[in-house]
Parts: sequence; structure tokens; C-alpha cells
Amino acid sequence: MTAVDGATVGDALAIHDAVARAPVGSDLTYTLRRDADVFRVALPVRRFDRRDFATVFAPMLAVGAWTVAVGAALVVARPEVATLHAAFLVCLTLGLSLVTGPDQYGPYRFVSVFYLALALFPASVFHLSAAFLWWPSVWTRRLVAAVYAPVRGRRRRARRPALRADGVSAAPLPRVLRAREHDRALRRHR
Amino acid sequence: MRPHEVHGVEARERPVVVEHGADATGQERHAERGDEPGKLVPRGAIALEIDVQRRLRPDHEARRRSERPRRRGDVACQRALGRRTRARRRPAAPRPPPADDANRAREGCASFPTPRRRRRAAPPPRDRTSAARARGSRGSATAASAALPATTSAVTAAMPATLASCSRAARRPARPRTCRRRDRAARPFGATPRGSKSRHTRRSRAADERVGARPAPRRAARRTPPRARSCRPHRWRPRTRVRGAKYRPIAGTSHGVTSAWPRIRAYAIVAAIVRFRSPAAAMRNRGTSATQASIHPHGSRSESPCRPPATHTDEDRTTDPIHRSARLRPPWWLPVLLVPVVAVTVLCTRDALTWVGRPFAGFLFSTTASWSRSGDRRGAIRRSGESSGAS
Repeated sequence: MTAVDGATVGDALAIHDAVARAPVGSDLTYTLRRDADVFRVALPVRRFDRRDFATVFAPMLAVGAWTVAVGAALVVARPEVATLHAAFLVCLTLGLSLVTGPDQYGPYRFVSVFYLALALFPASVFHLSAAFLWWPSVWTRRLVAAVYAPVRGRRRRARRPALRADGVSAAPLPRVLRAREHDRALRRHR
Repeated sequence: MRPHEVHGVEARERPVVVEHGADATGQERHAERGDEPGKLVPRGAIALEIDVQRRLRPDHEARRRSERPRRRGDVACQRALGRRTRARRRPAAPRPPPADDANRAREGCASFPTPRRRRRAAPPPRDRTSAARARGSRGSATAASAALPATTSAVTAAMPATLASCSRAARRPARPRTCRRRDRAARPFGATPRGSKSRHTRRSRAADERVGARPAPRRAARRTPPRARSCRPHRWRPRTRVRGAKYRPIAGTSHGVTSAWPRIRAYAIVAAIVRFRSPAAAMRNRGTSATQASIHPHGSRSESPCRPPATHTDEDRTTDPIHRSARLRPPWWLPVLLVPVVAVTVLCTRDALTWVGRPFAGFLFSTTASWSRSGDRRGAIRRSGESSGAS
């Protein structure tokens, strides 16, 4: 969108200002450009009523807040289960992207938060799958370890509790990362 | 402790038959006490005998922690619980205990094969007094019986040899910690393949913490070179038939599945979430009693090798110190993450509410997508050079 009623607009806030100045019911001509083609569309100015809010914004806000709340409740209920930590990350990224969704149509305060949560969502799903107890092959474990290499940091093996008999652990990173340990354990067992 | 249950042994008042000659030791004991074969003894008396023996043992608490629970599929355990018919028993063959099995045979465990590492045990004592001295602080049924008062001696005399053999602590010493350490280290993911013996013989870390046990020392490096490496877990899956036992371990997984997935399965995790319990606790109350016994962590709730069917109640669940304390401590990073998220949510909700009653263009535009009503589609879209009079 390049212009509103012939007046050039530079960003989205300028469009909102132009629309807000026009009376409700009057037509505004918006100039759009796609590649080399330039379009013009005339639309009447409307009032954003409660039905619009309930249709567009309310579902995003409600579902996003509920998703984050469910993830946090799971962690509070079972804080020692590493899988639920990963599930909370999934809920957090998904819920945060939904909560900041209405802001993407104005006033654009949390655009960076929205895109950050959106970008972290696949990573959190990956983390969730890695937090489950599984038995991957050697190369799969090395691939997972390579993915986690930038965030692994310092090892604290002495303070980290071992995996308990019931399969839960408070370890922040999935144990599938310990490929070398796993190989050593296999050799010891043999 | 409930009156009808003594260390997990169900003490019903159903009479059992004094078994003569189940092994060499049993014959010796009953011969000394003058019981005639086929004598009917109330089962409660037998449970009392076990209770008295356990209480008289000086270190029975420490030994109880390291006891390995006895599966209900075990032959001696079934005999003790009266679930195996008499016709299926093997005829008792009195035989002198071999020299290397002396300690175990004295406790009525001659029917169990001797583990290889215990064949180099001390030579058999010559008489009962020296036998009790040789066992030392471990205590035994015989030594405990000698210290009983006269009233309990009669009860003690009625104890069949098979029930004495049911007490795992009475016939085998505590397992070295290094073995448990090795078993734990062999499964870095906590996964135990189906039919694993180590699952039953090791003690959980939670149980270690509960009893305040000293952490196990790190095992020394192995001197022999490892075998050829294999990346497949089923290559090293332990045998399904455990040495010295006549049962097949029942795992949480189905028997047709050959994968090495752990017994904590998805439905257990869901049940744990719904019921606020750990997945292991959810698995514990599921399935047959054999399943529950096989996944039961050592030292947590079992007090006897002969474990009755699980009778966990809500009271047990709430008094579990591990899970109760863990529930009360959410991770520190949770409020750190939630506070800004709540702030963002409040701000976004407030901004979204300011849209109500405000004039807008009829469609919502952002950098990626736009929302509009279906009625807006009939808006005239014209190419800029087609007609100049329309706008």
C-alpha cells in the first residue's frame, strides 16, 4: 500500500492515522502495488465493533493465554518431569505468538516478540521430541547433539541428578545429548 | 502396620501345612522342634514369626533397604502365599547341604541355585552356634529364634521351611553397590529393556535419597577391552529368564513388542498429569500384581520380599516425600518466564480492546496477512490506467 486517498503513506501507522481521520461510512481509496502493477481499491471506513473483536482478536488472545497457562500448570504440577518442561516451551512459544497476534494489526509494539516466538516454535517442538525417552541411533544422537551444541554450555554432571527409576529428571537438556556417555555405558554393560 | 499384614506378608488365618523335608535345613529345624508332618498352623503365626525375626535382627533396617522384592511368580513365594497347589511341588529330597551352599541352605534356600560369585563363601560351620556366630550381624532365622521367648518359640517352631526361604534377606547378603551402579549406568536414558533383570535388582536413586544412603563410588575402569561395538540396543538385551527364578518377568510393555522402549509409556504420563502422580506411580497401580512388583522401586514401599497385591491409597500418594516435595517446588525459571508473558498479554489485550469503536479501513493489514470481511470483496478494483472517472 503506497497511498491513501492520494496521500503517500510510509508505514502502517500512517495508514491508521489516515483512516482514523476519515468519517465512518466515507470511501477511502487505497493504492496498492504488486510488482509492476498498481491497483486502487475504494473501501468504506467502518467502525470496529465488538463482533469484529470477538471474531478476530478474542480467539487469538484467549487461545494464546490458555495455552501458556496450561503449559505452566503442567510444570507446576510435575516440576521434575523434563518432558513437561519441553511441553511448556512449546506452549509458551505458541501462546506468545497467538497473544501478540492482534498487535500485528496495530499498534505494532511486539512485532519482534511475535516473530521470535514464531521462530522458536519449531525448535521447541524439536526439544519436546528430544525430551521424550527414546533410543535413537548413533548418528541421530550426534545430529541432536550438533543441534544443541550452541546452547549446551558448561556441563554440571556432578550436580545434576541421575535419571530416576520412574523416568523423570530435572535435567534442563534432554539426556539424549549424552551420546558419548551412552556409548560408554553400552560398552560397560557388555 | 495393619494387623493382617506383617511386612507385606498377608497373614490370613488360613491354615497351612508344615512342610517337612522341603530341604535339608527344613528337616533339621522341624526335627529339633518336634513338629509332626502335616501339622496345621495358622498363617498369622507364620507372619508373626517373620515379624519377630525381622525385629530381632540388629541391622534389619539396613538389610531391608537392600532387599530385592520377591515376585509373586516365584515358586517359593507362591508357596508361602498358598497359591501353588501341593501337587505341583517337587517331592522333598533331604540331602546334606554342599559345602559352598552352607550358609544359604541353612536358611532353607537349597532349592535355589547358587550365584557364581557366592560359591567362594565361608566353609559351613560345624554346629548351629558356630553358624549363628559365622553369620554375625546379618542375623538369621535360627539365631533370632534362639533369642525368642518361650511363647514365641512355639510359633517359631511352626514356621515351614518354605516360608523361611521366602525371606530374601535371610538367604542372600546385600548386593554390592557397584553392581547397582553398573546397572544404572547401563541405561543412561532410564530405559529398561523388556525382561531386564537389572530393573529388579537395582535400587532407584529416589530410594537412595530417601533412606539417606551414601552415594555409590564410581566403578573402576574396566581392564578387559570391550567387545565389538553395536549400535542396536537389542543386542545386549538381558535374558528374559532370570537365574534362579521360575518366572518370566512381566514388563510394562506388551510381550510382543521387541523394541527397547521403557515401561513408562504415554498413557502413564497422561495419567500422571491427570492424577498428579509420577509416571512410575501411575504404572505401579496398573496391571497385575506381578507387573506392580516388577516395577516397584526398591526400598520405597516394599518391606518384604513377598509382596502382596498393591493396595496403594490416596494416603500413600500424599505421603510420598519425593513427589510431595517436588510438587511444592516449581522451577525458578517459571515465574521468570511467566511474568513478562503476562505483561505482554495484558498489553496486547488492552491494545486490542482500543480497536473497539474505532474507525478502521475495513480490513486489517499487517506485514504478513490481512483480515477483512467477505463484503469487502465487492470493492471496485481497478487498474490504474483503465478508467479514470471511477475514482
